Amino acid sequence: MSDVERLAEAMRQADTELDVDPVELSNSVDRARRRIAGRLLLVGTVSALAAMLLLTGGLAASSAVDRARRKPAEHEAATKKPQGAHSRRPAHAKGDKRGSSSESTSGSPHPRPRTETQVAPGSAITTGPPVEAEAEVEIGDLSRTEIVVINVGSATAENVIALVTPLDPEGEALETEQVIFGDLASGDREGETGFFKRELTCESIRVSIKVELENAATEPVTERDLAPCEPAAVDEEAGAGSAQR
Amino acid sequence: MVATGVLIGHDTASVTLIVIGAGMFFIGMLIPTLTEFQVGPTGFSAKLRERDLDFSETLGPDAEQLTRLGAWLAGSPEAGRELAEKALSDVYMRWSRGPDSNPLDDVRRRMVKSAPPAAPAPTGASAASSDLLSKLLALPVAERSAVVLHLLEGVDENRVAAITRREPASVAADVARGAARIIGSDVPPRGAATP
Repeated sequence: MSDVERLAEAMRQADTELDVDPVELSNSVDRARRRIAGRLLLVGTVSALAAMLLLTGGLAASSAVDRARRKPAEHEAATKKPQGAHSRRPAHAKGDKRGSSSESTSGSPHPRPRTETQVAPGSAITTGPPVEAEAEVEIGDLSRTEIVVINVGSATAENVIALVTPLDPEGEALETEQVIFGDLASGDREGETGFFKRELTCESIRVSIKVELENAATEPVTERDLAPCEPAAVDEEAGAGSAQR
Repeated sequence: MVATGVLIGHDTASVTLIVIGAGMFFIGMLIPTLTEFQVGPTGFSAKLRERDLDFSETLGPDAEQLTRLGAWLAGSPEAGRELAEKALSDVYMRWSRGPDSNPLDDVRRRMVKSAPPAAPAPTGASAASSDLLSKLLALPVAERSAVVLHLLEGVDENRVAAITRREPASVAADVARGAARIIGSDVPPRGAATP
């Protein structure tokens, strides 16, 4: 018998003397299940955190894209606005009454002059996807209550809001009013050409209307569309009376 | 449009990940109680019971032998029991019975892999076994596992090589060197096989 064989025999003898408590397989199973559950919880936690981070990043990127998209449009509107605003200052501001419409009603005890209200056409936004569009319109000189019609074309919008800013004779802006023109996205109006009529009463000689199309879904507002197309004749006295604010 | 599409894609991915994460949370909390669930005739609990039964039937008869192997590898019956329990737990987590699978050797491999390089002083052993355990614990893990598997358990060198994922010649050399160190004779040089 070699030394190695004697060693093997001695080990086997010593092994029989070892007092061991055999392992319970159920303990190993429980241990394995706890480990699986722990790993799944860890993976779940990491996944949820990653999902939240991704969502936050996506929303932040979305906001950044919106801001970047809106900036050029605002800049364009701001640069185009002054062109029409001052070139169409009507004669009555220099002491004259209104234009051709008023002539047709002269002689009446309560003349209802038709006002040739001009709108600066260059102020509309025509570029960019029509998710949100915004335009400022210089209506021109108003000396009485008028019905202003704003055509936003076939744009559908959740809400069309005009910000009416009266200007005093010196051209200083007075307090801005918010006028809600209507909801284009509702019912049968969607996709149709949208006209919004609204009576505006101002004592000022100019009215600036800023049209905000929120979530416009089809076409951008065009220059043509923003021009008031049917300025209505309004009683001069009533207009003057309403202007005494 | 492209940017919008990308963002929509991000949002979709985010929502998907949130759903996956929530699902994994749910599953993670459910797993410890899965044995109590019965989802249909082939539900989770049925599968798990089947797996438990297979695992117990296959390795149950070797539980004491594995515990003894652990004791010789780790230096004490308590440490050996812990070593065997952990290895069995590992094997259970990856339990799959293919035609070439050998769960017993798989457990042995994991025990050898987890054997401590320097085990604490043995306790609860008689003088003879204590002396042998001390000498074994002084050996490197490769030599210790080769000696225990080949000389104590009677596993042939080729199989020991398969368990420890080494060359049979290296296993033979480790057996020879380990035995020489324990006996106290001259340690054969590397590459020498068992006489």
